[in-house]
Amino acid sequence: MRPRFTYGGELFLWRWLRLTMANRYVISPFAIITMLAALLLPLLLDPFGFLILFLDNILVFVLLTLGLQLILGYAGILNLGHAAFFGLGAYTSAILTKTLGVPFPLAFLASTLMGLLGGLLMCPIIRLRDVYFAMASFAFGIVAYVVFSEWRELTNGHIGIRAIPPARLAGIDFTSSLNFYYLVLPCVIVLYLVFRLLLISPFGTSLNAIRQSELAARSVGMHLAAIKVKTILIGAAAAGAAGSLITHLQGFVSPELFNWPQSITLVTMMVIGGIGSFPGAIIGTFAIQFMSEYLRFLVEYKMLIYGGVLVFFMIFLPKGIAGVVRALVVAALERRSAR
Amino acid sequence: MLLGQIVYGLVIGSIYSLIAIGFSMVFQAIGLLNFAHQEFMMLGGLIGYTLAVTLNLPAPLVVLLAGLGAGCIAVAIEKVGISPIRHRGGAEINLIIATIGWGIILSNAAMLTWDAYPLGYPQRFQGKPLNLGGISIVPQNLVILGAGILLMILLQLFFKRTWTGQSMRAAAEDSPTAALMGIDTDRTVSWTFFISGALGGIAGVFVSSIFYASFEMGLIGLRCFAAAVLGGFGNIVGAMFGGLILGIIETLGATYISSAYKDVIAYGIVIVILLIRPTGIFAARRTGLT
Amino acid sequence: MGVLTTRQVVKRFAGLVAVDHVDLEVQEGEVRGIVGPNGAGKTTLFNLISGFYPVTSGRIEFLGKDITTTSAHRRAGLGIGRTFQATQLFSEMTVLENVATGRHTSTRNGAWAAVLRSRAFRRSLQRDRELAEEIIDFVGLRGTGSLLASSLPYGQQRLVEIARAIVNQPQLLLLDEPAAGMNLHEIEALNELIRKINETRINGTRVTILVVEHNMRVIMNISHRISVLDFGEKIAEGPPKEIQQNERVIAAYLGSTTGGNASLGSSTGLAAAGGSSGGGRAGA
Repeated sequence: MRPRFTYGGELFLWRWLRLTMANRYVISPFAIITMLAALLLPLLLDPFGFLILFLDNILVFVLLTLGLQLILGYAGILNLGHAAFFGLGAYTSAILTKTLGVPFPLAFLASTLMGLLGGLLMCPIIRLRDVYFAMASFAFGIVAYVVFSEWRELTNGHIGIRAIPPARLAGIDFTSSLNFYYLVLPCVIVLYLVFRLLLISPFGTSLNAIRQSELAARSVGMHLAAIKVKTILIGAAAAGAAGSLITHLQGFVSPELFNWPQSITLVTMMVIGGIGSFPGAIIGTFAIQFMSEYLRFLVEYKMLIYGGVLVFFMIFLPKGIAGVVRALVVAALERRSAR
Repeated sequence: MLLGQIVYGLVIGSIYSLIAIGFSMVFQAIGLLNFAHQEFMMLGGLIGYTLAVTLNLPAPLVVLLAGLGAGCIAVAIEKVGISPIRHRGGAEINLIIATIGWGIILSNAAMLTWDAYPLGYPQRFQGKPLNLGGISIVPQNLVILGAGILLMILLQLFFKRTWTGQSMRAAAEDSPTAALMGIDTDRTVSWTFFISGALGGIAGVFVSSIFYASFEMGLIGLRCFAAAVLGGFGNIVGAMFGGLILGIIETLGATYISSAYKDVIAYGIVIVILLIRPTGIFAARRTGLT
Repeated sequence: MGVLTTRQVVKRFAGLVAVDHVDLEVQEGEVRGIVGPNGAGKTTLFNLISGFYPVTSGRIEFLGKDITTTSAHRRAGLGIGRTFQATQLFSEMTVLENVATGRHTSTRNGAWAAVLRSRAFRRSLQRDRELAEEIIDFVGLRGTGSLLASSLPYGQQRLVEIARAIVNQPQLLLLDEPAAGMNLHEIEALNELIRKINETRINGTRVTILVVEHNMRVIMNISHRISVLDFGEKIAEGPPKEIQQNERVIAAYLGSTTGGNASLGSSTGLAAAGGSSGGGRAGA
């Protein structure tokens, strides 16, 4: 008897894999399954509250890495100052809700806008080419950090702002990590879907084109600066939103979270997960966060191992985890079609 | 007061210069932003500490051996973890992340080896303060300034007069052509890393003798990235002056403006320079604009 | 009507004058050859016309409109297509996708239309694909649409680039050394293709083509008129037959020291072309 999950004699799985690889889906079945799983996951993890808190944190970072992937992986802009947008969003939300008593939804929007504004501030350096942009954006991040840590009247300096009211939306209180999970997950899903649609649009084609040949892209009438600016603005706005969420998740902000090592960590997540792939960005975020959380038993060797993993990946797996998975799937598909 | 500040700025600046030169050399040779570079300085400082305290070696030997040690480690890293990526045509971002990985490895290996406490150099490295024309100067500072300038002159001679130095310049300028002319470009890259690491290591001894040595001191060195940009990235003479200028700006800025914002000054200058004069304030050859 | 006019155009790079007060007047439907020794400023001139470099001084007009300060992407939208000396393809895209990008300025590309995937948006994507396929057939690459552009042989990659440049029906096409890296057989086909493009009527007017080419056989064969550059200056202009006999031109080729062998080769090519082609299709 034929099993019911076949399609013309072919397992659904293979068909899905094949079509996903050929980039034929707007939203691949794997993405849908992952989203459904993510929606149901807390029910499974319910007894382990701390795990959900950990997931909340990761999902906030996914908002950052998805945006950075658009900038770095798709537009090929070496942004080493992404944490600045994150910080702008976080401080905006902290100051608005705590000092001015603005309700969370408004603060969230304001944070997103502030992230966008941060993106605008970065725009003048957009005309620098690759490594020069990397240096300038790195400097941009440091300048932002110094402002966060030294503008004491506004940010309370290195001590940071504490006792920030939790997020409340439509009468629901998002203090518990479970509730918060259902606040941040929709954000991630919406962002992912929007990015997916953007990618298959002419805008996405332009991004791909620019990365592969700036000259050719200009010759067919693509406005490089405008496209790069848009990418940075979108990524920065997402980072601003993430900043608002992290503020209300933690209940406090301090400048260290937005210093240059954070920007570098975000890029690291991208590279470990796989440059130029949104699932890669998500995988990379999980991988790095898990590593920093679960390598604790190594105590003082933790960072040493972490550095070693980075170097190992760059030498042997430069395309990241997504690249490895992709290669394996392609190999499996080829073996099947050869049969 | 002002003169004293300027001299102190020059001392700090000459240390920055040594580090910035190494940063620039590697960028010029292979277009790499070496985020591990400041750790060579840290290693130099710590190796120097061991040589000075445990082995009780004289200061010049400490400087020399610490430089040699840091240089060798730099070459080892290049051979094991940078060149393999380049030879496989790795992307820029991959190389940058690899150097970040090496930076983390180095500073944490140093923490495991030397412990996490700051280590001060013995008293004999500082000497008694001198009074020169009304300015009080620690002789150590003069030695550092002199040694720093001497090193930079030697480096210029090395590039101009020796075969290795000339081939390094040729390879940095146009690697494929240099290779066609029979220059072993792999070797020149290794030499670049060696010199870059050695200069960093020596700078590390200088820094540590003024302040202290610690696995975290690489953070100071990171500022030299600003010095390198100031002098025009990939321009060695420029990096030298960039370091000196940064030292002075920082010292004066900290006194007359605000020490809290000195990073804003340094990195603000970086952004402005990159925008208006990506080749730095000294050269006019390369351009960073599209 | 003059399709393209340059008036006293100058381009200076850090002291070096790459293009020196060049006047060009290219008529509708003309195929204009641009020749000159290596480093004569031919590619720079193309970059000025297509807006890739800003001019140092001078004026550029396209279809009677001043475009001197118009940016490159706008000029593409106005109807100036171009190819590159070193092939510039989107290597991770298929041939079809490469060619379809040529439609960029005509596609509905509002972000919202894209995110909401409106009907009009999908129709316009469909239209791009159809046009791209048509053009792929037109340049003689039928059946290669789904292949990766980078997997094609070099000569065919150059054709993909031409296809991408013409899919949006430009009124002015700039071809930068289209024959470079092609074998004799491909060059023959290229000549034919350029002639076909030139004869295509867009809104009732013929496509005007500027060609930079080192291969004299090609240039003498296809050009109506030829402009000769040397050290950034225009030293001669006229129908192919005249140019072959122009003494200043011959002197420039023989006397040029930059890239000795190449220009010597070209100069023999000049003589050879003069002998065999028996005069190009003269007169515009």
